[in-house]
Amino acid sequence: MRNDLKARRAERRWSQAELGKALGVSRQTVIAIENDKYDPSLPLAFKLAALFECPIEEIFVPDEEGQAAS
Amino acid sequence: MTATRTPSARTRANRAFAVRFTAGMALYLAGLFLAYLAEGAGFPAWIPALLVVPAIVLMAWSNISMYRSGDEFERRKVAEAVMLAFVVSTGLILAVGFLQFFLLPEMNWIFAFSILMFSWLVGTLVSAVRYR
Repeated sequence: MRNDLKARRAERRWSQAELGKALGVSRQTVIAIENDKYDPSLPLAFKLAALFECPIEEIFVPDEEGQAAS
Repeated sequence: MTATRTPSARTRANRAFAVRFTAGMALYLAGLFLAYLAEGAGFPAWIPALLVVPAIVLMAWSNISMYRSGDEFERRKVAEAVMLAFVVSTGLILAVGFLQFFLLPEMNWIFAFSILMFSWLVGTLVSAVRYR
């Protein structure tokens, strides 16, 4: 799974720590999601979508193979 | 932005882990030390040696609390480390057990604990490298 979280976060001028705090996760978790090292759970993905006021599928896009990264 | 978890929550969890785990280790060492003392003084050593039971409970509690305090990504890392530790230690313990039939001398069960801890360390390192 790929995502454009880094760009969306930068657009809003939020730090990784601030985003993590808003989501209730650690900064390391935000970093892992941004670097496509970790695909968040559905509840966390919904939180992200609510925070960025857009549908989940706008943030997360399946890989070419349609597989999750992890 | 509404925070559901303060930044100090991680610090508090780490501190709680350190306190509980250190208390468990201290109790374990006290049990060991007192058992040796009791043996030397002619008292039954198994009575102070029983201190190892609450020590293990404390250490287990510290680890479970640490796991529960993490978010989903942190839990995943811990779960992968434990899974890898299980795979590695099962193989090693099986190999040692088998070799004891033909080659190795009889060993204390405490060696199995060392193997488990070593495997856990390996699992933690692999998990940390994978998600760095």
